[in-house]
Amino acid sequence: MSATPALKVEELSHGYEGRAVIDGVSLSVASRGVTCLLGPSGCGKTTLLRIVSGLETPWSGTVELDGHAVEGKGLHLSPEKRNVGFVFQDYALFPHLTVMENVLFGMPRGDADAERRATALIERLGLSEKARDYPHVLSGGQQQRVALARALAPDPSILLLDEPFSGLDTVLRRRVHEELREVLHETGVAAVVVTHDPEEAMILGDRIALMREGRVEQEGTPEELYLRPRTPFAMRFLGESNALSVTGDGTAADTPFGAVPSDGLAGEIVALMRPEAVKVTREKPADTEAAKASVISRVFVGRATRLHMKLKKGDQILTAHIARLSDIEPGADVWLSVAPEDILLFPQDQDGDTVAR
Amino acid sequence: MVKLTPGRFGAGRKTGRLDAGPSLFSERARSGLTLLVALLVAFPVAAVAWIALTGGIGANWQHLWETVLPGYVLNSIKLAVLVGIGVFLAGTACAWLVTMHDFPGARFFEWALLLPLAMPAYVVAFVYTDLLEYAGPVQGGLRDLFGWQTPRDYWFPEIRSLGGAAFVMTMSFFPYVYLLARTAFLEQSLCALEVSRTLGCTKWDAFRRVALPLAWPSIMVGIMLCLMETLSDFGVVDLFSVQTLTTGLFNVWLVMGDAAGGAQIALVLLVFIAGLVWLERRGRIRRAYYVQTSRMRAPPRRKLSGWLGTGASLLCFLPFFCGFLLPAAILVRLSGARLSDALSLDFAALVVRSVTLGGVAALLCVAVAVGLTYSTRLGVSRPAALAARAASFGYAVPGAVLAIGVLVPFGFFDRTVNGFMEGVFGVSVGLILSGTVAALLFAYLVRFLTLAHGTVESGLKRVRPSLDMAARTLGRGATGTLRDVHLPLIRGSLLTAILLVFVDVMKELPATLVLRPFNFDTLATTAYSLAADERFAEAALPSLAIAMAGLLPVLFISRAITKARDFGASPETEVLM
Repeated sequence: MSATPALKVEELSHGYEGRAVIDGVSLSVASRGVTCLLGPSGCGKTTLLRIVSGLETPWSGTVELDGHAVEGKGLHLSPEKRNVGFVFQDYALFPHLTVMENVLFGMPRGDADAERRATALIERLGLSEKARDYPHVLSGGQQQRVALARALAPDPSILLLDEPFSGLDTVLRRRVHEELREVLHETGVAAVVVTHDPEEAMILGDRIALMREGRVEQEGTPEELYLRPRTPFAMRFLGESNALSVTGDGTAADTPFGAVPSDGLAGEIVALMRPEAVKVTREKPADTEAAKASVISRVFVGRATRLHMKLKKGDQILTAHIARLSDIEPGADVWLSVAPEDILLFPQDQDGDTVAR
Repeated sequence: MVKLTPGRFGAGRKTGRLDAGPSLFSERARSGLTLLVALLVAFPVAAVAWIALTGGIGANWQHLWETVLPGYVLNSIKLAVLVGIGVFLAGTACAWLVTMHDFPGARFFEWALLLPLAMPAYVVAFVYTDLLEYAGPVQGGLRDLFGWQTPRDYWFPEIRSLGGAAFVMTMSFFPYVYLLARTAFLEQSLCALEVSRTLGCTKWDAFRRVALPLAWPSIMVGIMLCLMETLSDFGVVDLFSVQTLTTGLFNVWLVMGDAAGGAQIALVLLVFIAGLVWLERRGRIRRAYYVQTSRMRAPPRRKLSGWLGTGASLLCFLPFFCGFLLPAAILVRLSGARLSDALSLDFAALVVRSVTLGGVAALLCVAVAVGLTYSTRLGVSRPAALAARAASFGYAVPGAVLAIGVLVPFGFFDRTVNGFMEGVFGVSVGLILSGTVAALLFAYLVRFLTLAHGTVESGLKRVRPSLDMAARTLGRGATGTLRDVHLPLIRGSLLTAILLVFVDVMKELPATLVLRPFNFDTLATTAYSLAADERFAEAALPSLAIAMAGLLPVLFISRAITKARDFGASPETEVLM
C-alpha cells in the first residue's frame, strides 16, 4: 500500500461574501478507508468537499489528489479533470437518462470495458432489474445506490459523499450504512463522507475529522474522538455528556468522585463525563469514593434507562445510563461513582473551546 | 486563472455556482458578453432619449406641447382607462365563473376564453370595421329591415372611434387578466373563503371581501400587461384614425418628417410604459406574498343551474364570441370567397417569407437567451447579473418606439459611412444597416429576447444545480454539461420559447412596417396595408394565416390548463406572464 495520501489539503481558506467559512484547514486522507467529515451545519464541511472536487475555487491553500497538486499557487484544475467521484445530497441523478445511462455518463462512450464495469456495479448494488428505468420511478434508497454506482463507475481516485443519507428514513439509513461500508471496502477506494450525525460518523468512518467553524477541531479514530476528546466541544458533539464545576489546585481537581490529577489546571475547572461512565448503586461502594444523589426522574429508552439525578452536595445535575431494567424509582437516594480515567478536565472558559490537558 | 477574491464577486451564493476554470467560459468572458447583450438591448431606448434630448428640445417641445401632444396624451389615457375597466370586468368575471362554478360549457370556456389571444388586435379591428361600417352587413340589414334610406334616418355607433378601439382592444387583451385571475383564484386557500362564510359573509361578500382582494395583485399584473399592449398598439388606432401617442409618433416622425419630435413623443410614451412596468412589478411582488401553497386540490365548484347557469354561460360566451368566434368566422368567410388567392404564388411567397423571418428571429432570440441564462448560471460579475435582468425590459418597449430607436441611428450610421467613403475613396457604399433584414432581426431581438429569456430561464431554474456539479465531477466541461444535461432537460422550454417568439414576430406590426427592406412584405404588413386600404376581403387570408399561427401557443397553454385542471396552476401557464 502506497504511503501517498489520496487527499492532502493544506491551509485551505474559503468563504462567501467576504465571510470565511473555511479557515485554514489542513487534512490528510489515507489511500484506503473512509474518513468522515463531522460537524454541525454551517461548519464548512460541505464547502471543503466542493473545493476538493474543484466545484469551488478557494481563497487560499493547496489541494493534492494522489500526490498531484490540483489547487493552489495559481493552479485550479476544473472538476472534470480531477477524477473525483461525488455523491450529492439530493443524488443529482439525470432525470432524462436511465439508470444505466446515468452510470455510464462519466465513462468513455462506446467502450466495452466501461459497459462491463457499469453492469457489474449495477449488479453489485442490486439494481440490475432497474437498469432501464428512469430515476423518478426509483425509491430513495435505490436512487442513492444509483448515485453511488455513477460516482464509482469512472474509477475515481477518491469518492466524496455529501450527507448521502439525509434523504433516507432512520431504518433504511442503518441498513444502507452497512451496505456502503461493504461496497467501499470492496472497491478499496478512499472515501470522504460528510455528515452531521456522530453515530453515522462512528459507524462509517475509519477516521473522523471533527469540524467546527471552519477549522478541524480534532482528527482521529472514532474511539479517540469519543473517549479522548481534546475539547469540550468534541466531547459534547460526539455524544451526551455531564458537566460539573469543580475546583483544582494545580495538581489535582476536587471532584465529587474523588481527586483527579489535573495536570496544572487550577481554580475553576469543568469536569466532563459520559452518562454511561456514571455508576449508580443503592449502597455506598466500599472500594471507591462516591457521591450521594437523589433521583429526579427515570426514563426508559429501550437499550438503557436514563436517570436524572441531583447531587446532595452542590445541587449539580447528572445523567446516568444504566442497565435496561432498573428498580430505582424517582425520589430514591443513590450513590454515584466515576472512575478517574473517565473524568475529563477542561479549564473553565466562556467559549468552552479550550484544549484538554 | 480565475480566482474568486472575497468581496469582489460577492454575488456568488453558496449553491448554484461553480467555477468553470480558465476557458472561453471564464467569468470575465461571460460577464463581458452579458453586458454586451444588455447594451444592445438598451441601445434603441438610449438612442430615442438621445435624439429627443438633443433635437432642439426647447422650441420643438413647446411647439409639440402647444399643438398635438396634449391630444395624443389625452386619447392614450382615455383609451387606457376604458380598456383597463373593460379587461378587468371581462377577465375577472369570466375567471371567477369558470374556476368556482359549474354551469353548462364551463369546462369549454375554461380554455376557450384564451382563444382571443390568437387574433392580432388589428385583425379584429378591421373585421369589425367590415361588419359594422355603413356599407357593412349589419347596418345594411337594419336599413332593409326598417326601411331607412340615409345615415340621417338612424343612429348607429361608429366603430372607427376611440370607443370602438377600446372595445376591440378589450376583446383582444382580456385573456391576460382572465389567465392571471384564474390562476390566482385557483391558488387561493379554500379555507379563507370558508372562514369568511362562517364569519357571516354571503357568497357575494366572500368574493368581494376575500377572494377579490387576494387575487387583486394578480389581476393588477394582468391589467398592466393589457395596458402596455394598449399603449403600444399601432394597428388598431391607425385603422380607426384615433390620434394616440403611437399614431402621433409616426405622424410627427414620418409624415411631418420631424425625427426629434417623434422621439420626444416616444419618450413620453416610454414614461407611461415605465409607470406601468413599475406597477406590474409591484403587483408581482405582492402576488408572491398572497400565494398560499398549502392547497393542492381544486376548490369544489358551485353548481349553477336554471337561469343562473344560462346567465353564466352567456356571460362567458360574450367575450369569447366577440374576441374570437365572430372575427374568426368572418375571416373564414371572407377568405373562403377568395380561396384562389391562397393557392397563388404570391401568397405562398408571403407565407414562406413570414415563416422564415419568424423562425430565424425565434432561433436567434432563443440562442441569445440560452447564452445569457447559462452565463448567469455559471456565475457572472454583479454588474453583468444586473444587466441581464435589465435586458428583460425590452418587451415593454413599444414597437413604434423601437422603430424610431433603430432606424434613426442606423440611418445616421449609414449616411456617415457613406459620406466618409465617398469623401475619401470616391465610392458610394449605399445603405449598410437600415432597410435590411438584419435591422429587422435586431429589433425583434430587442423586443422578444425577454420572452425567450424568461421561458428558458424558468426551464433552467427547474434543473437543480447539483446536476451541473454531478456532470462536472463526472468529467464534462461547461459545454459538455450544456449539451448532455441542460439542453436535453429544457427541450420543452426551448420549444415553447421558439414558438412564442415565432408567433409574436408573425404578429408584430409597427416595427416591421418601418424597418423592413423595401418591398419586403410579411403576412402582417400585407394584412395591415390591405385593411388600411379597406380591401378587407383581400386582407382576410393573410390575417387568417397569422391567426392560425397564433393559435399554436394558445392551444398549447389551453392544453396545459386542461391537464393541470385538478392541480391548480401549472408551470406552463406562467409562460405568458
